[in-house]
Amino acid sequence: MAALFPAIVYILCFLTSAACAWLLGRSYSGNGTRLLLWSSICFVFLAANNLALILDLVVFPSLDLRTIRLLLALAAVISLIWGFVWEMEED
Amino acid sequence: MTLYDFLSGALAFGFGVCALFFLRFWRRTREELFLAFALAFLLLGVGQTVLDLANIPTEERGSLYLLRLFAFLLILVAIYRKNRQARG
Amino acid sequence: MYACSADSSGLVTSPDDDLLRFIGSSFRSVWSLELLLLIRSEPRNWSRSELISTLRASELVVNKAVDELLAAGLLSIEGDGVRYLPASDDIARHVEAVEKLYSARPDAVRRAIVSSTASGATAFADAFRLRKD
Repeated sequence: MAALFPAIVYILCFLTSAACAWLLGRSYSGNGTRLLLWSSICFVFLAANNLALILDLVVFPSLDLRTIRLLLALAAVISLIWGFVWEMEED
Repeated sequence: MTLYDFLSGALAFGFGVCALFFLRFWRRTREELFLAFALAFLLLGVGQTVLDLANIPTEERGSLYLLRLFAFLLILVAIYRKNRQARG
Repeated sequence: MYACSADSSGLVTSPDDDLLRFIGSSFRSVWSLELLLLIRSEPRNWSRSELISTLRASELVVNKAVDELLAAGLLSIEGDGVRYLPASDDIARHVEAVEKLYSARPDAVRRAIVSSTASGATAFADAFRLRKD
């Protein structure tokens, strides 16, 4: 199937994002550094975005999930930028 | 221009801004991980830009998903290299 | 508890901020704080082996702490050992305040030390270390 390789790619991207989210979240619970919280949230949204991509492509090919994917990715980027702007220490 | 196009442009720009922040971290700490994240987010931004400007209906139709693949591979490789360094 | 200070404009600055910044910049680890308070308690020459046995820390930790305190201008090397010697009266006053704060609110001091060394970027990068050692 022509759509198989992209699907595998998106699954990989989903797993990577989820892993990043988990690593950052784990560190946040131990450390308390707020930047980690926002970064973790960012990667959760990125993972959700990749998941939506998989659902869009493979599971529900008749549905168009473009808007949801876009909003999830936007949420990811906004949380990360929010974290960078407010939680970075100047040194 | 539709709301979708507007948000799409904002997203592409947002990826770029994140990349810049990671570059700032890289300049300060010289930690390879940040360079990788910066490039990854830059690639995601470029991918988003091309997706919109070229009016490609679905990402997987072209080879556009390869950009996404490279972005996340960069991250994976960076994490791997970081841990290999830490152990040695 | 601790006195509030007023700066030249008459605004009362929070007692914590200034002091916490001093703590964060002078002590890279709780060990270096403990070591400093120890040699301050008895103002004499302390040998490294004495420090190691009293603190019950490893040689590596003691050496690292001594280097950091030296750089922060809090002690000086005297022959084979070290002695408490703050670089200025200002620093001496700060150290006294730190000691008081540490006995009243040890957790706050510990947090000030840890959070300044694990700031944003380093914390992010460290999060990706799979094995925490």
